[in-house]
Amino acid sequence: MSKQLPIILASHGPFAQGALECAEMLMGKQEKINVISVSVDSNIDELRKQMQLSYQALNEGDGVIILVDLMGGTPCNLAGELVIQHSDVLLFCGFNIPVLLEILNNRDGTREEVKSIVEASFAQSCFDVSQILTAQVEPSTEL
Amino acid sequence: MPINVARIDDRLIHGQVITTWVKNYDIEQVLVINDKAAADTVQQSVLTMSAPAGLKVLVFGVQQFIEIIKKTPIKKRTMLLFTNSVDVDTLVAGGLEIEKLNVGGMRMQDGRRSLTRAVSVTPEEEQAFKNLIAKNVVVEVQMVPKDPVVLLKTLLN
Repeated sequence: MSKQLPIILASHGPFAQGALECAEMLMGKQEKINVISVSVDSNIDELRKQMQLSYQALNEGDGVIILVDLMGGTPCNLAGELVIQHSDVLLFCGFNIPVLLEILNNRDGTREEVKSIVEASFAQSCFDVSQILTAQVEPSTEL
Repeated sequence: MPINVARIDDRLIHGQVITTWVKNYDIEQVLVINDKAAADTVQQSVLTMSAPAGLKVLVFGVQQFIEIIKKTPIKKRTMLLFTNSVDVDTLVAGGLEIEKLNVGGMRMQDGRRSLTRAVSVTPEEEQAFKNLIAKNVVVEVQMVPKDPVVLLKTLLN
């Protein structure tokens, strides 16, 4: 089998785990995928460690794709920290089953190819977080 | 001073805050007051830039914010976010005026005992809550606005 880009799926509650099970039911067992489920009582520092360790464990030199449920949520924020720290993370928020299936079918390409495929098909709902995290913020002294 | 929500939540800005509190209270700016976040440029970038369009986010240290409120009046509809009760007690002692404090999450970690599923305290944090209650701050445990309010004093011995 050709080399595949690893994936981290992260969500509030069991959505990410459910999405993986759904995709595996349709496409068969998938390799190199970690799931991070944030629950009401999860400790933020533990979650941060889990995100960092998943990235390190999965990355084989070509980077990691991270799919999270919601812009601005905890899964997205923790993955956003990786985007700022590393240049080989592709982070999409708002993923759904069609997006996941599309990525699973195309992850033997490069991160750039995966990015264009997702953006071509799902631009409205699923977008690349690094474009937001690198935006300039206007300074202001008023509260 | 239009502080519309003052909340303790150790995840700071996250899904619950954005989808419920900010919308329900028409919040224009979120001020995160936490020394660790103020010193961590990575976390700060994510917090300020991942907020929804139109929501302003600023991050301050505890002492820094005490100095700021002495000089700068707050005019926008504001949500204050803290990670623990000791910081809030310090801020109130330093001149911050709040009538109500919402407690959303202080998750379990070493040295804390559990009060509810998402709220736990060290002895120092428990004392800080008692100090705030003694200063007539109404301290309410509530994760999201639809949850029932539980007064924190009913959970303390």
